[in-house]
Amino acid sequence: MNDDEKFDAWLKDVAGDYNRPPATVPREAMWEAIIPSLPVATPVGVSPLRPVHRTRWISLAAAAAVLVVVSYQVGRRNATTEEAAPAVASAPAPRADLALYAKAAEQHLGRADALLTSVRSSGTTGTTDPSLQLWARELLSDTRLLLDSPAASDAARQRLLQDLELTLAQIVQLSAASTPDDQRMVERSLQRGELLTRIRTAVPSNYSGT
Amino acid sequence: MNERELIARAAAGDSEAQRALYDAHVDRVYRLAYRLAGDDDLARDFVQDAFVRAFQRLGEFRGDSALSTWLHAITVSVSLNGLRKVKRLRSREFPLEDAEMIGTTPRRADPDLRQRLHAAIDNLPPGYRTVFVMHDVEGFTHEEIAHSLGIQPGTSKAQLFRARAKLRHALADFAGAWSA
Repeated sequence: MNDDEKFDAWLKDVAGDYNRPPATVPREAMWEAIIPSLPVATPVGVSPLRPVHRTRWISLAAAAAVLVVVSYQVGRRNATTEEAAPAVASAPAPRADLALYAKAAEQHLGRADALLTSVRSSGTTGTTDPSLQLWARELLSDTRLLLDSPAASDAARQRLLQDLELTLAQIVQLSAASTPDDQRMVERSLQRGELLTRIRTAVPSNYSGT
Repeated sequence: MNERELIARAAAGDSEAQRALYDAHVDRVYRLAYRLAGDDDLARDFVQDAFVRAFQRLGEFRGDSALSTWLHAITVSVSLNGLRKVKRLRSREFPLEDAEMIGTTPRRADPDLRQRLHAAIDNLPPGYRTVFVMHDVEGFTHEEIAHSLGIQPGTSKAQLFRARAKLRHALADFAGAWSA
């Protein structure tokens, strides 16, 4: 047996230590998180929703959606009379605009997924990492913009954005001086309602979140 | 009830069939996700995400390959995308008390060497690392890897060969330790 073969044999012997999973698989905990996102039985005669084909124009539409959201907020801030703002906010959005808002929300949730995953993978230090807090602050601001926009007209999306807003607000309020209890509160908030799983279900798999 | 019937019922929204499929495959899916992620929270996220996506697309599963292969493909895709999003792998720690072995290993690696090996595996290009983890760590065959990753078995073999070569190079300081 030459040296390369000895190396390969040794490698196979010791490679089993690499990222060795725990002996017990957390089956029930994972299943509980999966259940809310499972497809349910479709009544006879009702066609299941077809997957939406995402084509290149959607990227352009998404960019337009961001513009619409920003313009909408700028418009609200620049309103000179108190009566003007409700008039804009209460105007029903055209159907095409709703699709754009939905796309903007989808992109936003992709970024939130990336942040929350980073916070979770960083453990207790993640919640007080200044760069993650800055990121959370920006996302919190965008979340509130979306909650004020027609993107929140969908009840399920509105609930998701509200839960996200709560979690982001908790992250933003944490500081290096926060107690472990404060940090655990954020962790519990992440687990409650399985926020990450719900976000990922709402975001297409090919979306990178960047 | 065979797996084909279970799949049809699960795709139609039968919760018992969904649970039966989950129970049949979750252990190996979790092991694979954990090997790639190296972190329990991430592995759980990836497993949950993989099963949610799998159940949502079960109607598209044509049975050209085994369901397990299809699930592993989704798991690898979800895991690599997830790790890319995090953009950095966690810093590694190797407390000796956690180095519990299942069964016996004829030769135990020196802790420094093992730490270097694990860091070297972390630093492999994602494609090489995935093939290495699936083949040398989890025991998948090249045919299973090829089906899961959508590549040819020959490509899987070539990537494993290159992965091992890179690891050998990364551990050159320890040359000979594996001969002892």
